[in-house]
Amino acid sequence: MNPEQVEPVAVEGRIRIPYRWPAGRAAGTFLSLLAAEGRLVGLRCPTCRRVAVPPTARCNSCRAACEEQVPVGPGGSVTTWTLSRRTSPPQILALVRLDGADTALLHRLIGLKPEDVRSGMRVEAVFEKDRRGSILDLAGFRPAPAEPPSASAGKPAGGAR
Amino acid sequence: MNVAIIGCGQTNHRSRRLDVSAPELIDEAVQLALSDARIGPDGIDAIVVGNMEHFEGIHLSDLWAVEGTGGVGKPQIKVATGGTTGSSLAQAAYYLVASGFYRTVMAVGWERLSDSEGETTTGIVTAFDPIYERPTLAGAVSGLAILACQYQAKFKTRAEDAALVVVQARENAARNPHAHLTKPVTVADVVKSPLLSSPIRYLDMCPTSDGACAVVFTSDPGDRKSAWARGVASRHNHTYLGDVAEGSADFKHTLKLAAAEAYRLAGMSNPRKEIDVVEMYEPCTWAALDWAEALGLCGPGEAAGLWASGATRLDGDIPVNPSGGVLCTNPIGATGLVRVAEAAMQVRGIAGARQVDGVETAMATGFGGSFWNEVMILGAKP
Ligand SMILES: [Zn+2]
Repeated sequence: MNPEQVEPVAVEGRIRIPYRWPAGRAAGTFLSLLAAEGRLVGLRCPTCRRVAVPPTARCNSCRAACEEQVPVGPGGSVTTWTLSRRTSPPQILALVRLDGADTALLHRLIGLKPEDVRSGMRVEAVFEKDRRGSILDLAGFRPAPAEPPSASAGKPAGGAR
Repeated sequence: MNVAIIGCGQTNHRSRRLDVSAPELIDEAVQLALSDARIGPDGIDAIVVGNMEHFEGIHLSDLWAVEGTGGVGKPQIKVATGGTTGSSLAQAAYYLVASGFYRTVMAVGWERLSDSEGETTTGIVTAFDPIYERPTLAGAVSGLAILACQYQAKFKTRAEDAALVVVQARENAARNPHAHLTKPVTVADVVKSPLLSSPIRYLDMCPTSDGACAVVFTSDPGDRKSAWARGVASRHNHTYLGDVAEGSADFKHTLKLAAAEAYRLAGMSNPRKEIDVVEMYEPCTWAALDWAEALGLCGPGEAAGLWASGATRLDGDIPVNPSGGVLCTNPIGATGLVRVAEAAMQVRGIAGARQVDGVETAMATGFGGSFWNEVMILGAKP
């Protein structure tokens, strides 16, 4: 048979592999507190004092081991954002620096239109009622009244769905 | 430039490390290696990191691993060559230092086989050509069983001869706190264990482990205990199993080639006499027999006698796998690097209860893919 005359042949396949990823010490603690108590904690570096959210067991800045849990949020500020059209409907992705944190958390903004988003705007965490130890126990961040981070201490914790 | 290993760290490898994330697991090995090398994170100029593709379902695994490796702001290169990943990491780190481009480089290998929930074989099968071999091949065990069957037919080797390899491996593993399987087994246990793919039985085969290993290479060891790289070689192989087995002689073809090159570089003519300890990548008992012959530790068909004579024991004249080897511990992306770490520890005289007396020269091998191989010879002097 002349290869020039052969219709292109392709072999079909499908790879299915289930995974289960242990969250580990730092993320395991973060997700457990999020699920059980609906609160957010970062880890403070003993050396450079940086508070990381999401927390990591080792400081990605200076390599020190981090163990000190620090409450953060539920309020925070949008540092930057985009409207992602990968999903339908499109969703607003944002980096949110929670009050008390030195790094920003990637999550989504809810309850507002893209034209109303501004970098630097105040937002607050919205927690799911049914929480099971996932970053999606945090439903997202919704607009919050503008106020300096220090004034938010003692105010009711975030919202709930 | 001469290159020395000055630090080795590894986790205590286990079937499941559910208490730590992958970066936290890597961090354990990295911290131990830094501490053994007596340097801080700033002393590492570049990092080579690797694991098995698909095994944790993470595409940019070097991105994920960085919290453990400390690669932020540094050159960090991923190397993934299948079973040889760990030995390739060592070779890449060696070349980066030997070239003079970097003074001190850390190789980091890791694997969490428990993450894919027993579907390791699915991950392995994706290594093979999807047109001709993937639809029929049934994973790593079957590929090795074809080798074992060839060896058995050629030399009329008995199952009991092969079983002795894992019996000795477990004895050594019991002396190694990092080893995963340390329970003693007898020849009778092995030949009665379930048949996986003839002639390989359950206890003939390596386990699946969670673990990480880190090794520090430098051109400037100062007064640190050093194991110097004296012969480094790697040889790749054909795609199709039939070409591997027939086209270039046999399954151990690339190991013979790599070993010959490493011996030449190290200036060796009689490896059995000149090497004090061998840390071999033996994925199954039968492979250990076949590959001891490829390395020139004995003649063709003589490996069963070599093990039976006791020469391969810790107090024998050519100890094989003082760590317990791959048969006792197998976090795949780290496995080849664990061989290098063990060889380095033996040369540096810090292998504890499994230390072989008076080691001047040690050899580590790595095996992967369709029977390709790597060899690294370490010595107490450059
Ligand atoms: Zn820090």
